[in-house]
Amino acid sequence: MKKISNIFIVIMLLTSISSFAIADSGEDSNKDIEVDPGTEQQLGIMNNGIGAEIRLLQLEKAIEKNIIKGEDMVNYLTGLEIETLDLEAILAELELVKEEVAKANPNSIDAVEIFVDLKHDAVNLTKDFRNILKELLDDETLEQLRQRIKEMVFEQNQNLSNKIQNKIRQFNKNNLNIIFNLIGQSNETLLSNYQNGNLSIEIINDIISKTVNEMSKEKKYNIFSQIKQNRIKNQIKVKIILENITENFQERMQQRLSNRLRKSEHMLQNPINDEMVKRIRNRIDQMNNGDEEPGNNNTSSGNGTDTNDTSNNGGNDNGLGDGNNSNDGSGSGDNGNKNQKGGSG
Amino acid sequence: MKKILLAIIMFLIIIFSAVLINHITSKENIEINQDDEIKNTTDELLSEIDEIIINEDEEIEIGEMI
Repeated sequence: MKKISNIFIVIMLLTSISSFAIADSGEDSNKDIEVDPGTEQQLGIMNNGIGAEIRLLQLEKAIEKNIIKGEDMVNYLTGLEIETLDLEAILAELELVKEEVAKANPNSIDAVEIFVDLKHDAVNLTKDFRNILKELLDDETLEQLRQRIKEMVFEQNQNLSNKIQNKIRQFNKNNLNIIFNLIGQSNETLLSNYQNGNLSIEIINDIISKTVNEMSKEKKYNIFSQIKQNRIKNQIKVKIILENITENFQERMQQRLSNRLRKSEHMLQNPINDEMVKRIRNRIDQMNNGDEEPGNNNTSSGNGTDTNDTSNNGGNDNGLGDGNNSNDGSGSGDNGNKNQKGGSG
Repeated sequence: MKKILLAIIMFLIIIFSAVLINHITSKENIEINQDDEIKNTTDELLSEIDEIIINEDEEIEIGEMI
């Protein structure tokens, strides 16, 4: 009897352990992509139309900045009579990604998905560029280039920077308006001054801080609860969206590459475009052959293990108000993502 | 003997259920710690407000080209 009971206990323990193993492996196999915490944080404000616009503009700016840096490096290397066709092909593809970001509709239901996908592409192309440079150049030349890039001024970016700043002020104004209503001190003139750039956010913060200090503990707690509640609701929404977009990532990537290939085939024929077409075709072939991440081994949508990869800048997982993204059904231009999934949010 | 065996099985089932529930809830990764919320309400509230304001200079990084 004792033996039977011992065997029974061992079986029970083994069953419970194996059930965890099965559950974990099952979950992982459904996911095509692991979204890094930095990107996850950035998605927090994308429940809101303006928030989505801010993130897409910020991504466009980051890509544009890297293209400018890349072009400068190519010019420098051409002066040293170093072959740069591979690098130029990557820059040409980065340009296509930038166009896709610029055409993306922030009010679309797929805005988050588009952001994650295109950020992933931009990160990987940047990484490819970096790897080719490392293969081409010795440490000394790399250091010279690094110094050159550090000293660069991005005047070309100014237009996008202004646009982003205006959108952030608009976003902050909306959230501040809700906060002022909650603390019972609505002040439209103050917020308009902030939006127009006549008042800094620090002054607004001081006013809020003084008002909060004068409030009763109960009122503080009530407001805190409301803001926190919204934050948690928002986090849950992001988790749900993430669950959806991490699936079918490979299919969407294949579709994006096919669209890019179609587009580049109609572009002016020159060695750079030909090389870009070749690169894209190679990746599509690799994907058809079952390779998960063609071209490189990075499966994150942002921060990889490489120290030069993306940082977690731009994190803000909030957004007050109802946070609903309007769904006007309009697509994201020609990046093809609209046709990929039947509802990601 | 039967009673002991039954007790062991029940104990294991309870442990298993507790671990399973903990495993599922931890996946949600959302912690609401009421004690923390009550303590130091002013600082918490101001920091919550601060969190929902985006820094105007904020940038998204996609990695360096070199």
